[in-house]
Amino acid sequence: MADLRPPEVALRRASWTVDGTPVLREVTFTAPAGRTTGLIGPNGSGKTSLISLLARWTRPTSGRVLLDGVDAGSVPLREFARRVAALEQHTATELDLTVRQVVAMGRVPHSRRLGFDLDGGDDPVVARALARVGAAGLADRHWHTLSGGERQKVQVARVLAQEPRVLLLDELANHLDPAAGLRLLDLVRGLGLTTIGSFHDLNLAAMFCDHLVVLHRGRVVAEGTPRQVLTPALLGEVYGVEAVVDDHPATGGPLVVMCGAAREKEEG
Amino acid sequence: MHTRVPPPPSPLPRRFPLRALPLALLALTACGDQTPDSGPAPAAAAVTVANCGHTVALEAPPQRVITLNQGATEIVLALGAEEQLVGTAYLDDEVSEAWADAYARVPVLSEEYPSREAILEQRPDLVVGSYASAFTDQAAGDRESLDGLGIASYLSPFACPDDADVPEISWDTVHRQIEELALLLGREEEGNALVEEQRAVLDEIRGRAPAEGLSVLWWDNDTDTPMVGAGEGGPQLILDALGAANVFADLSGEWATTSWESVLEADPDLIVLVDASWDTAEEKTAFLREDPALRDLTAVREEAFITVPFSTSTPGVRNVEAVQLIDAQLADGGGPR
Amino acid sequence: MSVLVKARPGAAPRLTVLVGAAALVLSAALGVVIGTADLSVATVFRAVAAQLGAETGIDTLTRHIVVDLRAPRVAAAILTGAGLAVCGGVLQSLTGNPLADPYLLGLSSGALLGVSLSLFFGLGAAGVAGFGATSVAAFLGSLAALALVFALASARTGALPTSRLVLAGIAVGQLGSAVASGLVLASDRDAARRITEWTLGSVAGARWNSLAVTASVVAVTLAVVLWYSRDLDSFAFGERAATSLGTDVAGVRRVLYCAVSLCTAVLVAQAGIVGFVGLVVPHIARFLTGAGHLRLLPASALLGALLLVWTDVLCRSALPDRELPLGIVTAVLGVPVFVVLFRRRGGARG
Repeated sequence: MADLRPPEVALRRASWTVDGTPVLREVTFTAPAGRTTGLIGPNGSGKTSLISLLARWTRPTSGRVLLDGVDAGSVPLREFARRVAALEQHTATELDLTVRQVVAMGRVPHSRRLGFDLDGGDDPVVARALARVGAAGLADRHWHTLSGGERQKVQVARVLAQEPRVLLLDELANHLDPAAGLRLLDLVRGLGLTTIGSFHDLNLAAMFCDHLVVLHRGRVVAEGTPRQVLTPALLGEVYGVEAVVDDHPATGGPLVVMCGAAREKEEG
Repeated sequence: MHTRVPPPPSPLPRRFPLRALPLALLALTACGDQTPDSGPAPAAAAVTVANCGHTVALEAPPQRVITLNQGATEIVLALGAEEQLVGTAYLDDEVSEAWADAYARVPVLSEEYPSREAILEQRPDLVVGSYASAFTDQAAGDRESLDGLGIASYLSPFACPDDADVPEISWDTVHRQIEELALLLGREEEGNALVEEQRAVLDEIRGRAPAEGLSVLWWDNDTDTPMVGAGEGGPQLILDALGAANVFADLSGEWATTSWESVLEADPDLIVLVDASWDTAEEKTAFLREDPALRDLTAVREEAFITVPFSTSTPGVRNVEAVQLIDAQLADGGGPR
Repeated sequence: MSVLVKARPGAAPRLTVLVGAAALVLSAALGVVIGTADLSVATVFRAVAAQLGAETGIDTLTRHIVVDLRAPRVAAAILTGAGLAVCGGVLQSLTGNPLADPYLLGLSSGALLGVSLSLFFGLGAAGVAGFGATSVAAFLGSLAALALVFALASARTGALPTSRLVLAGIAVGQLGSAVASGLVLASDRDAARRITEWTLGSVAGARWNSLAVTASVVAVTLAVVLWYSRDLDSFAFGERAATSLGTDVAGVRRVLYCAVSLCTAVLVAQAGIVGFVGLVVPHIARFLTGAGHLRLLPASALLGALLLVWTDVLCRSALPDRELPLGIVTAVLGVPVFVVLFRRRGGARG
């Protein structure tokens, strides 16, 4: 049955083309097992599309996604959902759901047909997931009454209730207060799962990721530890900024300080 | 909206209590033995009539007839069969004065269609309708299921649901409908007499051709895009009998929607205005007089208007009345100067 | 917010279903007793007994009114109400659109066009399986509309994206209504009347043999949608979230769109167009049972059935000796409920 160890997740020459326009081109990288991998790159570089491929929301035009070397596409979807949980950047519903119901949805891949009761809510896994994100007190609140930060926290609880080995997070900390974002990222990092997340904020990525993958125009242009990847040269090339990379006074990791936009270079 | 005063309420109780039925039925069969006061005893022979792909079969003349729609009611009344009626429903306008007294003696089941249950509750032996809508689920129900309950039904042939069964409208087919109903009601003699009488009236008027050489617009209703009498319906039949020329005789169907432009182009000598509760002749006249373009029509300038009730224009027992009405109004100086 | 929603999940929904089922049995019985013809409860019992072979001295016509007119129309009201409510609820979940109703994919306009065509051209009166000619025309019309919508909406990959489906449904719907309106204008008064009458819905024409077909279709549809209730739950946050919960989104959508649309087409043939039941009832049911489809769908079915049984009773007893069209009464009852529900929810969202 399901392997409880978090797997290594790898992409091999994965491309994705929409209406003839390539969005991802021959992307290859490896997210180490049990570690946090950050996807960075400017807007439109393909971060969200990459999460989509990994989550099987879209199918690659060519190439493969591997879980511990096994083609993810060959795993039945339900089995896949028990191993891989994914969280979209924006979550919205038209339904009037309670927080407990939202978290209970994480149990869908573990339940039998006709055996899933969204309103049952007495699953201990659901209660544990809520407690884990510090949202036990929200259990009976209505989803629509929550703040953005609370919603994101509840979604993380939903993902935890799914009991996955791999977490895919699209811009988890976006639109959150710094404290809320840091707390959630801390929590995720502490889970010991193979986590792949896209990041808008480079310093946040540097703080929380063991491994970074840099995307530029749908290609991987660099991969490695934050220290290896975040260099003034790369930042200039990919982001078009002049930046200084210093040491973070608290973590000792790299700290990116922007100085200004790089001089416009004519694109060749 | 102008609404006509509804027909006088019937003196009989509207609802027939079902629990009292056995008694009532007994009483009825007792009555049946005594022949109705008017006319000879209905013939007792079994009759069958082919009707809209259906066979209407009756063992004996029906004594509990229900008529739906004005046309059906008026034919039955014209045959002097009001004693055989247990209920009528759904008038378009007013019942002809000729039968108004007889009509008042028959219970009105509903202003429009009564429900199926309300009809069955009357335990009819024959249901007669003028329009196909009389036999939908919201009214009497389909004819097959009525057959299943031993209730015969007759639908005006001009309203057969299958176009293939609909006869061309002519005096012959109009009279055939009267004859068929007369046969079903056991009143063949009355039927023959009525048809004879109508033919005589028609022959006399046809001989005189009082509207010879007049071009006529038959305006049914609607002011934006007028609905007019076309070449294949009651209006055409009536105008032919008068020797008039229908300006829209070329349009197919009974009625047709046309434009005022075509009317202006035709510039008729005479306009027949249909008087209906939903669109009165008065409103029509006012419209024609006030419309900046239409008031220049010859017929409007000369006030050559003739009014007929709507119910005389659908194929039935009152088409002759329309012919007579127009004839009389022409004689009265209603025509063009 | 409402006490009902805050009630402990689990206890209230089960009670709702039990109370609903009991209410439905009682309503069905009352639905047979109440009507134009003044029949006592005893008469109705004797009529039913007579039908079962007992010697009760009830005459044929009374028996016919009870057994062949009232009982089937109560049954048709139950099936139509239940079916429309379930189909509406499923479509709301599948599309994530709270305004979805069973006729979303152009079915009503297709059926209307079918009916208008058959009445305009006077295409005879042949029926199939107890359904009259109008019903058959309605069914064929809605199937044609459905096929056209699916053809227009399906991507090259064979997927049926929601936005395209809804747009195709609107387009086909508009086309159907426009042509049908033209036919109504060109029809004679009586045909126009019958078309209008049909668009307002009625269960007055229910007969046992056609009900057998409708009952089977509604039962199968209910079974299918319940089988997929877990998958429908997973759609709450959209199709991507559903995929991540292990739901085969494309497969589920294909099966459910087909099942729900076919069921609606049969219901259109059975009862014409009955508005608001499929739109409003699922919202009321959600209020009572919560969003979980395993309870929501049976509760919707029960509520829909109850609503239509009573609506139909109103239709045949509100005016003396006359029938009111179902659609008018469901709208008159449904719209205020709908407005109240949405105002409440708007408040909760603040």
